[in-house]
Amino acid sequence: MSALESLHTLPERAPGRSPERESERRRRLVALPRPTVRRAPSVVHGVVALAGLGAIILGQLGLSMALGEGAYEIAGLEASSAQLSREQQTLQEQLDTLESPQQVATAAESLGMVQGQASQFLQLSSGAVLGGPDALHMQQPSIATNGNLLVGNELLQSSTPAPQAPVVQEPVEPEPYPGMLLPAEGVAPGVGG
Amino acid sequence: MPTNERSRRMTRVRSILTGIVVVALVGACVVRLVDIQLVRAEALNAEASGRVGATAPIHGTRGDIVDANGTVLAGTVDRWDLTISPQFVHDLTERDGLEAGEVVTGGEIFERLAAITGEDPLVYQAAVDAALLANPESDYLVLDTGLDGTQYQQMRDLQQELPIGFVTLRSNPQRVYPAGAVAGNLVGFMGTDGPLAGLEMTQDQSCLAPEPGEQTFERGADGTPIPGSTVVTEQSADGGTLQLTIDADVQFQAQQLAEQYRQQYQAQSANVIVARTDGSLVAVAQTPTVDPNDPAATAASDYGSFAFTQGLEPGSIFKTMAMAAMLDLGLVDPGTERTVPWRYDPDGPVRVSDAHSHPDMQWTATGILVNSSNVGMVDLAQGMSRDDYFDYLAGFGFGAETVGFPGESTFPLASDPSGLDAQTQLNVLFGQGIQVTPMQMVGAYQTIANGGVHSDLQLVDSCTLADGTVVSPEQGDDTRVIGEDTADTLLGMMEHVVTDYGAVQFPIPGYRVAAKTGTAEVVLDPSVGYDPVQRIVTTAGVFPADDPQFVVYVQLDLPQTERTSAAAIPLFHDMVSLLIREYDIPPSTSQAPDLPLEWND
Repeated sequence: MSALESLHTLPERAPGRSPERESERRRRLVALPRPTVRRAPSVVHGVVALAGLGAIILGQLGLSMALGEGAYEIAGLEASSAQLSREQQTLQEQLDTLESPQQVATAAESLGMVQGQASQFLQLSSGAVLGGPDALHMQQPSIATNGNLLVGNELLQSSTPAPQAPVVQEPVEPEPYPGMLLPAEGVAPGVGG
Repeated sequence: MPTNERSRRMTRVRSILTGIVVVALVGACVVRLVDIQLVRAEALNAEASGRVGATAPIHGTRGDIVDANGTVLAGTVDRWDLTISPQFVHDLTERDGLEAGEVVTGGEIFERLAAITGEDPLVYQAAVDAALLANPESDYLVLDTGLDGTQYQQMRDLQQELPIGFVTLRSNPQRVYPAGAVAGNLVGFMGTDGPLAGLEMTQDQSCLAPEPGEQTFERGADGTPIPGSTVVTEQSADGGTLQLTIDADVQFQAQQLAEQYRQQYQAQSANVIVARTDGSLVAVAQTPTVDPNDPAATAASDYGSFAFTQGLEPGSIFKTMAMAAMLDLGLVDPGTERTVPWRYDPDGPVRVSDAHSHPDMQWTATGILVNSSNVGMVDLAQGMSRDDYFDYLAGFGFGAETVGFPGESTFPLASDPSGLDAQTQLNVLFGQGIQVTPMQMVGAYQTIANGGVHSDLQLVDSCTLADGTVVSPEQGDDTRVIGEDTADTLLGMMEHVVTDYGAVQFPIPGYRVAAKTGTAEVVLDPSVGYDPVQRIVTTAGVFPADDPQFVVYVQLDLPQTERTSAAAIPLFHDMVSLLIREYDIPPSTSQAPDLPLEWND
């Protein structure tokens, strides 16, 4: 503190000196930087800092919530995409089966169609109409007398050949049958149960 | 001022100490970091993944098999296995998150599961009980397989509704064959562990099989994967699409026709083969044919493709080959005149006779082919070296593989034809004493249809890999076997077989068809020799004869109600007629060459 005081009091001690001397003297004297006085931090700064911190935390929270929300949305959309592609595949399977030659042939025959007249050809050079090949010697339906397809297709024979959209099955109360697992006495299978 | 000095020194000491401590701490952290991240990284990773992580394969999709027009003959569909952890099966109560007082019993759960799969719930319960009896800590049991997309969704809905964590669905893609038995003999089928027959087997590694990938994920305490933790470490690659030269529509019609005629003549089996002139196969039909969706319904002996595996002594359809050789060698022309008795019985051990007795006939070479005279063929071939003849046979593709089908027979030709016994040297002129496959016959007739140039038969058109690369199988070079003129002349002679053989069911008015029939003797019991009654009847031909597009081969094995080629002729006619309809082939605009069958002094 004494050095500080002396510096401050110097000009007062020699008031009567000429300006030249004074300036000379001043040149020799080097002013120490004024030390900053530590003052108690103001409340405002604290509030600002805390608010900033809070804002950052909230912001990050919000951001991660948004990201999380996005992740859920993506997961949800992926799930529904997977479900839709499963549905598409199921329908494609049915379509492929319905497109099978056996199905087309039996469907045509069920409509009363038979292997008919072949194409006629118009000969441009002579203007003549030429018939196609003669009739087939074999005129038999695609289904043998025993009800089986002549060219088998398990996919058609095991399922209904008619177009069938996936139906939502109502849970039906099962008909009671001997040994049925009744809800009242139904017990989870234990060891040896 | 000593107090200042001291405080400054204290500060310096403090900061040095702090620095040392900080450096020490950071150093320790760095050492630890290096230790964990670099030195022990592998061991720690392994330990960690062992504790929470798991690896699972990613299954690629097996490639489709499609016909020439893209119709799917074999495809892969998603299916799921219903699996259960028997030890965790229990009644669901409040503890499982149900409302207070609500109870869903194990029995009810089985009923709900069975309602979706269509199985008997008691079967499920019995399976779980048996698993628990065998091992009280049983953790894995496949209840059902082959759940389709609809059933999978219903299961998922059920899992949403009830907390049944012990029921899981495992993806298990399966092979389906939408066209059923159409080309089932070619496509083959898959067993549980891999391909078992047909192209599924031969083209498995080269085209169809997918490359599996790998993924890792972290598991929760109960073993379920933690969502979002999945990391794909290796991408899977799907299998390629195999395109055949087969036309599924023609294949179906050929199979149906084969079965209709098999039933009509009560034959044991039948083959119908259609090839394009360039050697690509349109239909390789047989009956019985396996339905790859249900191989068990067909006898295992019928699984393969007869056209490639069956050996037969072809009989008279082989006369075309001998005639081609003789024409090409310049020994014979269509008008070569011979007086043909019905029996050739010179001094010595050999004897040849025609199928039916007839007076001595003044037949031309064309007449000999049309009337299918064995004696006439022997007479015509007197000047032909058997070595030359067998060179022609090799050129036609006999004794060699055609497309490399599983189980394909080749029946190598005799290495020293001149050394064959005298009887066999005569028999090989009309298709006896030599074994061939139906497909080799098709290859030979393809040569005649293609102006005398033999092309390799082709069943696989290409394989389109997952990355879009198209790989076509290597085909051998085309080779000229007989001259173009020879082929034309021979087709003209074969046209007369169709028009003048005397079978009204043979010709198709307006269309020029060239063909030859055969009634082959068979050896059913080696100790007996040729069966006295049973025959394999065939017809092989080319049409339109003026501009060949197709080769058609039909064969009925052991027909009972008609044991001559008269049984094969209507089948051949109908197959040709169906091809004309399918591909809208216009009638021929030219006439068959007028070749006399008989001659007069």
